[in-house]
Amino acid sequence: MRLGELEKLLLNYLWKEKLADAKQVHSHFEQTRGGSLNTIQSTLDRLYKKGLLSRTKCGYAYSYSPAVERKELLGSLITDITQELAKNDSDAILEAFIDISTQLDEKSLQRLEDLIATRKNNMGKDK
Amino acid sequence: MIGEGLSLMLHLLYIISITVLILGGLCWLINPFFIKWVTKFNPQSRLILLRSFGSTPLVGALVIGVMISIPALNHSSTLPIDHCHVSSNCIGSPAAHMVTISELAVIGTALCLFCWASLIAFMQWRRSYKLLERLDVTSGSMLTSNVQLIETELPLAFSLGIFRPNAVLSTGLVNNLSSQQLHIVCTHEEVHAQYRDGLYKWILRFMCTFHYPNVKRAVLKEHALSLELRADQQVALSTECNVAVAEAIIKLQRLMSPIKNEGPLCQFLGSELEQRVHYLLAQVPGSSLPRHTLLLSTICFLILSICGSLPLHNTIEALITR
Repeated sequence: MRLGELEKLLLNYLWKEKLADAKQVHSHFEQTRGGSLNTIQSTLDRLYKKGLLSRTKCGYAYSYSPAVERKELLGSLITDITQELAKNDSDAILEAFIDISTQLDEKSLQRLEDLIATRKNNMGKDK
Repeated sequence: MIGEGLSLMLHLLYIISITVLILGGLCWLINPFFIKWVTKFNPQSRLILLRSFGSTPLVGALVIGVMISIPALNHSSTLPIDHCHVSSNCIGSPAAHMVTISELAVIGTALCLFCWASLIAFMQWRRSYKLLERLDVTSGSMLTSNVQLIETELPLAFSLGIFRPNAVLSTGLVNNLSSQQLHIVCTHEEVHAQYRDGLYKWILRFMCTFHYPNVKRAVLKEHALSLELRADQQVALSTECNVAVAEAIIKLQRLMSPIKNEGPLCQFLGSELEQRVHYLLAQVPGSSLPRHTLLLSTICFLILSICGSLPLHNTIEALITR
């Protein structure tokens, strides 16, 4: 379920507006992005089928609203990423710049910082 | 006809399975010396050696399976090894040329390992895909053309994805780093994505399932460290300042400290970070495997595989039928 560019735009719009029908969405994007009402309708329908939007029928048209709040989705993503980072190397699916599982005490960190400072000083003298 | 085909397949599977287990045992014996020897090389060479070592049981078994089976194409019995079983141990009638119970147990063990490796690989791919999906939906702007940005106060920098890797940085990290440090972290993660480190790690994890658990752990740990060292080395080359990269590593470690003190998930792997800093500050980067050595090894391996096929087949046949 990777999202296309328009799908992301519509989702972000609905996260901001909370509720809108296809015509409202179309009139918003008509100026900036272009595209027909049909494209907007089918994209909204796709997002609904992917479970990212919910909809209610108002007359002949559907009104769409986000099924999941952005903060909620981001929160669960961050939790899962932090859990991945805390895993050991053989099981983690991320390549992190610094592993959360990497634990250096203050003394060791200070020792490494001193080593870097010494190297910097030496480089300064060489110049 | 079906019976003959099944018999051929089971015998071939037996040869591959027993070779996997034997090669796994041999790797277990040489593992401590190998890991020590590998650390003399630079990260790129280490990765080549570790990946070759990690794939040895499975790839070696497949090669030996083919080597033994090819001369058997002339056999009237259509068996990879033309031998007779003790009829009491044979499944079915002796005329069916089926495998014995013990041979079937060896096949079962190897197949269980294979299924386990496949299941773990699938679950890891799924986890990675699910994270990418949510990242795709929630990520805001792009920091550079290759680096995605996520909105969180946590200082995160990682690359994610097996087939289409993405480099990701958090806003919390971006706000706390200088422009040079930010460039270092971005380039580091881009190197991971560019070299498809996630994919190689994923494949190696699968291959290492056929090693003994302690060998698997050691190889994967050394591989993960080598990936980080290579990324650091590439960044140091592009910035032409090893000290700045080492400083960025320590800075990030300090930013990470509040997170790791929160949960009970922390493990002691601090030596990895120390090794990265020491490697960056060291004057000698480690020797590299010359290209001609690699080429020569590959040619020797191919010649040995082709020429050794018949002698290996005959030796094993003689050993079994004696």
